[in-house]
Amino acid sequence: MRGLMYKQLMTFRAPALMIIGLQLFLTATAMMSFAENELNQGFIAVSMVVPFVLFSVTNGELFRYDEREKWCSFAASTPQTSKGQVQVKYYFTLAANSVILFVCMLCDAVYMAFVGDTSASSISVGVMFFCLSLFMNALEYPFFFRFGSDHGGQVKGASTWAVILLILIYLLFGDISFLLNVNLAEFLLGLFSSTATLWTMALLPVISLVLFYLSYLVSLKMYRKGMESYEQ
Amino acid sequence: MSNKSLTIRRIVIFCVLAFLPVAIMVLLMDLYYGELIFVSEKATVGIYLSGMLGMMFPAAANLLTRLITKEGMGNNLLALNFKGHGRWYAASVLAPLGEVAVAAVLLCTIYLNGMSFGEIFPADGLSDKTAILLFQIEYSMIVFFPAFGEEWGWRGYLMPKLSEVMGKPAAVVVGGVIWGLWHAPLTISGHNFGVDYPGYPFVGILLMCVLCIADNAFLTLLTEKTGSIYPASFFHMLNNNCSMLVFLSIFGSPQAVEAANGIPTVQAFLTIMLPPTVLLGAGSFILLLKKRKPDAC
Repeated sequence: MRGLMYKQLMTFRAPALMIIGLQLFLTATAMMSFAENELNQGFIAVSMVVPFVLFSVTNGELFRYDEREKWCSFAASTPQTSKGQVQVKYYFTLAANSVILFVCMLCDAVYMAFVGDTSASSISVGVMFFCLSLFMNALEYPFFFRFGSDHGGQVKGASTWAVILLILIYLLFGDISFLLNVNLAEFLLGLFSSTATLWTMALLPVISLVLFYLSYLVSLKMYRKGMESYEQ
Repeated sequence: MSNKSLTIRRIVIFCVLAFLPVAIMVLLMDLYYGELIFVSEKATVGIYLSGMLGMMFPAAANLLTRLITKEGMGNNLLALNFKGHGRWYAASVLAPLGEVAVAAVLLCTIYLNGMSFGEIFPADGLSDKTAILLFQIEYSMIVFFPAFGEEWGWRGYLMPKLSEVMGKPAAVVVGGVIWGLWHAPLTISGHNFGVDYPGYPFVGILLMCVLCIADNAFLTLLTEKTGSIYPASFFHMLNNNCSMLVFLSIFGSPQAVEAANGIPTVQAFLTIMLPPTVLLGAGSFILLLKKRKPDAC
């Protein structure tokens, strides 16, 4: 498994460097924006969100090099078998999201030290997006295994566009008074006040982890079917 | 150099690398704020940073000692090893919550016995409170990284080395004392007990050593049984983030919280916090000493 993890790290190193680099850049920007203006929590909150979004956008890279029938047949004959091939994607995703959260925590600590105020912390936003990222990955990985990263990506893209379209329709015709004159961090923190939202937030980590495990079980089945459809 | 003396040399290097940065960091923060940080009202950032960064020094000491003594990364306990060890993972999450429950019972029976159950834990807003508790438990994952930092140092490096040198029972005690003494700069700065107690700071340091010996037994057991450092990290994470006071501040009435806050820290520690921890530690110690039956041929 260690070897497979290393292989995964090597194939994903460019996106990984980009994500961490961007995260550091956003934190530096948040610090610079503080030097000029008042405390701007929105900025640091964004720097907690963007890396997770970026990981979700680039995670197809984890699959790209494995989508050949020869490789799949070879992988199935290794001691880890095809189960190990699926397992490593999930382990790596968990590890990558954890590293992103860890860097979020460090950036948050640096920002807090710079600002000199613990209320400047936005790490709970980072934790929430860590869970959301696992949730999203759990939904899309079975598609990746079944249809390959390109077609799986298309399915992901289509569903993302559908969601964006729905949001746009709501923004055009729905009641958006609650969004006006509120910054992102205040808006996210304000969500905590309602009981339903509180329960949703409290259950999100549990739901994400359970879904992540179920997704792994589904992917095991999908991988075998997907293998047959790969090109030589 | 014999194996034993090399191991002792590694232990000494590890301890120096783990102790020094924390002592320097706390001293610098005390100097920066002009008062002891854990009793200062203006040092909230300092407290946060010393908690987050200070706890990572043992992990850094583990890495550096391996580099300095050219030990390599063997036996690093970083594998998950979840398969077949699910019950130990479950124990790592349930044990700290169990400790909190026992501590809450002790608090109610010893200090809040003049109040009815309903007065201590009012039933209003129970749904919200439960969600907040769940939220507090799950979002403890922020503390996971610092907790991992400590565990990878103490249980991931020091304990296996001490067990090599002096056997398991003595290693648990000595390891606990070393771990407790590592907290000394924090204890002197008012962490856990404040500064207004008889025998400050020696009594605080001594009590911290006792607590660390008890916790060390359970954490060593978890690490040995699973061959992984993560269960110990989960326990440490929840232990730090979901204390009895957190539980009381969520579920308790303002009067109960006020009464609990009025108990002198050392007294509260001895009567509420220490008993469940010692109980868990004693049980773990017995399990650690229990020899495995040889496999039947």
